[in-house]
Amino acid sequence: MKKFIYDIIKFSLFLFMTILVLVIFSLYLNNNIDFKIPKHKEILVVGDSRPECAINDQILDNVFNYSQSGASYFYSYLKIREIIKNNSHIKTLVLSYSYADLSKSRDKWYVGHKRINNYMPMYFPLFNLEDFIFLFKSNPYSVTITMPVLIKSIFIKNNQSNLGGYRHLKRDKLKEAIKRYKFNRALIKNVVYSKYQAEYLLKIYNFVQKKNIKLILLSLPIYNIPNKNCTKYNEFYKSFAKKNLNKAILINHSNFELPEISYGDLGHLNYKGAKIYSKYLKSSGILN
Amino acid sequence: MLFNSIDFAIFLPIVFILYWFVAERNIKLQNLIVVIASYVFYGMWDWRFLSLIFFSSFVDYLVGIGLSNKLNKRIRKLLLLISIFINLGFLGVFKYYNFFLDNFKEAFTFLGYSINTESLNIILPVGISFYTFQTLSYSIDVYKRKLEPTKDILAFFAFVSFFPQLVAGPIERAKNLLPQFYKKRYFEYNTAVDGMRQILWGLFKKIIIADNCAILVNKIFANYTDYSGSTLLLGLIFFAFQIYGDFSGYSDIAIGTARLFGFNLMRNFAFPYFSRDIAEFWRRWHISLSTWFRDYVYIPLGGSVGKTWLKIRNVFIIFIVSGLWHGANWTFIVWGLINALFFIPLILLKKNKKNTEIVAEGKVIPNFKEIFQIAITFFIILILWSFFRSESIKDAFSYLNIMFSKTIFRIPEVVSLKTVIFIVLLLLIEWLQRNKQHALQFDNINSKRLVRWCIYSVVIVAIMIFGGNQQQFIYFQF
Repeated sequence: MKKFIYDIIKFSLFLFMTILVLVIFSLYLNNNIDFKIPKHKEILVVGDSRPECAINDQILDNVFNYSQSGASYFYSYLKIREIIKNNSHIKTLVLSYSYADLSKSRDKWYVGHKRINNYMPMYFPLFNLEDFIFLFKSNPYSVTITMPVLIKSIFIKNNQSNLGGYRHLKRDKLKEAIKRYKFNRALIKNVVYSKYQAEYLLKIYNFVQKKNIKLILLSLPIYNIPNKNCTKYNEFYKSFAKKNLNKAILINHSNFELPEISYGDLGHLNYKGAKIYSKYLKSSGILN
Repeated sequence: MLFNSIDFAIFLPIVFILYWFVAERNIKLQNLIVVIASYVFYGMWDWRFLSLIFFSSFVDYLVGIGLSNKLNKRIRKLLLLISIFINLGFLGVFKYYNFFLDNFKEAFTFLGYSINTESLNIILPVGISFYTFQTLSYSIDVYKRKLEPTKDILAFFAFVSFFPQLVAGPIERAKNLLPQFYKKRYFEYNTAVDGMRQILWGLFKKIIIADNCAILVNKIFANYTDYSGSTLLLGLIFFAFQIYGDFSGYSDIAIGTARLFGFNLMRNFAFPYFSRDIAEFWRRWHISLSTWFRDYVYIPLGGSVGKTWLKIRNVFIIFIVSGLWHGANWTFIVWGLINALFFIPLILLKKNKKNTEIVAEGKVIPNFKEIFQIAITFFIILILWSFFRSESIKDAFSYLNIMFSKTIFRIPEVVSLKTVIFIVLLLLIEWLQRNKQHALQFDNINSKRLVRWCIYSVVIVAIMIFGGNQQQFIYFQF
């Protein structure tokens, strides 16, 4: 029995070393993600699915959209850090926000098993030790059991387009979404903020300040449906920004008027909406 | 809890340590650990299923005790019937109730009557067909006085619920497994190491072969009308390896795990795709089920002895029952029926036991006759799998109809080079190791530890990199 246990331990070490060597070798060979952005693109847009669907960077000549569905401020921070390191010509960072971005409900974007399982392997090449420890502390179980997926992703070449870009959304499900919407939601008393989101929003702010990059916090158009909590959340975000991000410019386009055909659903513009909205951004010069 | 999950990777070492270190010198305690571990393992699917396995075990334990008393023939028969009625009753309710009800309804509607009955919303308990047959074998063997009934309730519960083979076999005979729970188990280094190798090979077959094939098979079968005949043929080939990798992979993991605890389970697969006729295939595929039906259905019916029509009847019965065992769907019954049609000529010509030795034994390459026989048998099996995999008989015929059209000569639309390479690799390794119990049994390089460790590492790394998305084992549904 002793020999068996001893051999299992020795083999585990042998296997661990083999995998480690292969991982290091693969990281060296495969995972140099190219974050080079064309020189004329001086405005970087980062955020979740809303900017991903709303900002068509083919219409906006000087804008590069690197948003990705479901990306929390943690993953956005990793991306911003890497892009700016590789592109000193970036002058402005447009970071999207939606009314509930700082609320407690966003915590699941960090600690949720599915999120970790999907996003950690994808963003791992951008991690430093501190980032990894942060994620591990937030959900040690999920981080541990995602390791095989992570190793697999390291061996298979990552592609920077996986990490974001404008999404040509053809969805046209606004009417169905309105039907499904629960109008009689309970009114919240106090907004409890997400410590993870707040921490990484501040990190983004401090990072761009250090690099002398202008930060625009942009709330994108959403379908105007009565939501009493929305105002409360917006006020909360605004006061947080006023207190902690005083040099950032806050632009709220959540009530921006668009025809109904512009919406894929309640929270996202489809490609028709993206075209109208991007043209507006271009003509108004609001991002410059 | 799936064998190919992190949960099992945590569960197994814990049970192993408790079993060998905490309860090392005490058989009762070891059996108790097996029962608790098995109930935890099974309860993680749905704790409500535990009541079924508990009740089934308890009834058969009492039936065994009852049969041990000197009772007259009628009471003994009654006790056996109680065991059969309860075990097959569970199967009937959970697995076949809706199937038979729907068919009765359709038959009556066809005759112009309408009956008003409601189908039940029943979840099929995982592995019910496996442990029901296992516990039934105990009652039948005790009734036939082939086995002494046990008075050790813990050993009996451990025998019925033994977690490595609980949900998908091998379906153990009480004669083989139960006595192992009475004897003190000794840890044997070589057995445990070989068990680990068998687990590793099982994981390779499940995660690399079956899970990768599953993606292609699901795609092709879901839209088979859109594809060419060549793609459909490829779909069947992928399914043949999916089901083989899935089920034989599970069996390898089960047998290997049992060996870690000092138990020997029966072999369930013996490289079936190298068979030279359908009879040989059935001696090599799902051996524990085939031999169960042989011992408890076919031979009691008269087997291959007697008049020709009786032989034919017996073959039909065993294959139809086998088909029905796999699922409550006409596709499985037709699958069994067609198997019988291919089997009967061999029985009638007394050629069913022609190929009992290993193919091309002692040679690296088979001769042309053997290659031809293997290819023909594999092709027949492919046709049979189309019924097994299709949603309905109509779909199966339609699938075959498109497959055998002119488009069979087109270039297939769905191919995965990676999967094809791994299938070729599987065949190559299994061919070279076909005289062994499993493909990773390396007797001749026992002294070269580094070589062996490199081979294991390559397999593990390949599983990590090329493994498909985790899929449930196909045979759990049976």
